[in-house]
Amino acid sequence: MCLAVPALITAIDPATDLAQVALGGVTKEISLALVEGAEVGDYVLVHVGYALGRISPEEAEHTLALIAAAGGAEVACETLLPPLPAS
Amino acid sequence: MNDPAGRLQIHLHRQTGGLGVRIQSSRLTSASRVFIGKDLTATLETLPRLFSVCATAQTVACVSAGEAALGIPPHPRALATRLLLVDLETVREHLWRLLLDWPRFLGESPQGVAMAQVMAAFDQGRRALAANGDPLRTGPGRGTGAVRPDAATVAVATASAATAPTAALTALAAITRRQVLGQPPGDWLATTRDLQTLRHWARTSDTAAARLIDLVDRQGWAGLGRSPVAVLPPLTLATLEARLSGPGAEAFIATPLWQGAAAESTPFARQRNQPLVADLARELGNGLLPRLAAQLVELSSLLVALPRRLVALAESVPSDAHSDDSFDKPFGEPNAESIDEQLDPPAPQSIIPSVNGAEELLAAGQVPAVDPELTNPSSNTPERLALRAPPRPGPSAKVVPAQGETPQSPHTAATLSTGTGLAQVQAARGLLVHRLTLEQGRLADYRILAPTEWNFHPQGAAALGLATLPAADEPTLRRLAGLFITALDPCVAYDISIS
Repeated sequence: MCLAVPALITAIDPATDLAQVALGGVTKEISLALVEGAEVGDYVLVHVGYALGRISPEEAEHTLALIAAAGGAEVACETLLPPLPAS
Repeated sequence: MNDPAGRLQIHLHRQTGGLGVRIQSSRLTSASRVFIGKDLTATLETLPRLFSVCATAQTVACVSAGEAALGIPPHPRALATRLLLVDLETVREHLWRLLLDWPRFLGESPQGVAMAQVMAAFDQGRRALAANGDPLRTGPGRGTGAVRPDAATVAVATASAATAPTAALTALAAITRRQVLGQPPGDWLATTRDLQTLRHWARTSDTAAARLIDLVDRQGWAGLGRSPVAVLPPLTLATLEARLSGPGAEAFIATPLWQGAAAESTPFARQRNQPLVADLARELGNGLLPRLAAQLVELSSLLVALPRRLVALAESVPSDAHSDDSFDKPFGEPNAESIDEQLDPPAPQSIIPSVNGAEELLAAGQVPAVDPELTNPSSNTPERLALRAPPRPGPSAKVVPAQGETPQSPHTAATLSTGTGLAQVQAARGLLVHRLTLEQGRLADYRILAPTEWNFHPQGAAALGLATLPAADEPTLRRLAGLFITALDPCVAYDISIS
């Protein structure tokens, strides 16, 4: 199915509007071009390299639990781990 | 890395005689099982969070299947509102491809600012259409398990629909005019009706979309990826029920086949009889340029049609919503002929779709049957949303069609007794089917068939199309493969590896 996955923003480069997020247990670079006002520590829904919008930590937790229950258990649980420190 | 959303791993390997292609998917095709045990209201609240990319289409399919399972007909205005929302989502998704993906193949930057405006306009339109009574959610109860909004809420929602959604559609049309077509969508549709006029537009317009069409044309890539993979014909509900209920259902959902062969369900499939796409397909079959053109055509057609549908929706609001007797009107008695048609639907016709430019494929017997009346569903209409007909009160196991529904499917007593509902929706990327069973108000079974499983089947349109790409140097091959995959529009990220 077409899932967008919650991810935690760990770093932002204002010059490029790119962010580092914790997703699937690793740090990944995504674009913040489609959302306004996202900050480090926010959760965003990520789809094909773009943040679609901000969500609350509670929504993120709920959605990750759904994904885990739906079959993405291993990877979703990895996403819940504390983010890797920004390099 | 692991990606909870799932990915497509697409491997191209050079071999004697061309390219070998292997497509592996890690998509969660059985994700719907997470809702088993929940009631329909909770499912409808949660489902958009999980399937947030095409949340509207998924929710409409879910609520429609749920209503069918309960034997509750949707209110016509609620149904019209839902389908309008689905098509609004298709506009957003097509603009994503055009504004963010297409520029990459030109070496240009994605148009993030414009896409952010698109998403804001979509949200505005969606909120306005759902104001005071979300037609995608459980409405105020009219008996246990009612899942339709009541007449009053729909009336308020559609009355407010007259302004904000219009503004949203105006904004989307303006973005399309400015960033994609260089002219109003209706003008583009009227003047771009064959290869020559498309070529003229591409060479004289200053947009990324025009430049990409021009590049594909000048580079001789127009027919790239052409394959004999057939268009998925309209499937009767009986056919879907047979595939989605048997022991092979899980395998069918993961790698669906039609009559033993892969088939595609895409914007190209929907638009292949439209004048421009048909003209291109005559020479290029289901190659790259007809696919790209189909996305432009579908976007433009929706932007022309949606304002009219919005006006019709607003005008359909009665002065006193509660006096709208159609809301509580039971299904009319069908005549015997319509029942018979449902119980014994005609076999698919063998077709000669001379307008789709695939004569040579037909000659090879590789294009399956298509009902000519259903070959060009450019947008969702109530007729396109084929609900499982709800049961008629009384002892009879026979069922009747919902209002506006073309009888398509037989229904059995066994199906009725288990409270199973089936719905299909034309989503942005193709046909989306939901099948759910309610037992004592809770989901006992839930299965979803999504278009990406058809289009990225290991022997499907993507795989066979990619196998025809020229064995060019790696950067060129990667670029062509990415362009063709984008034209087929998977709903997940993908990786290309080449050996």
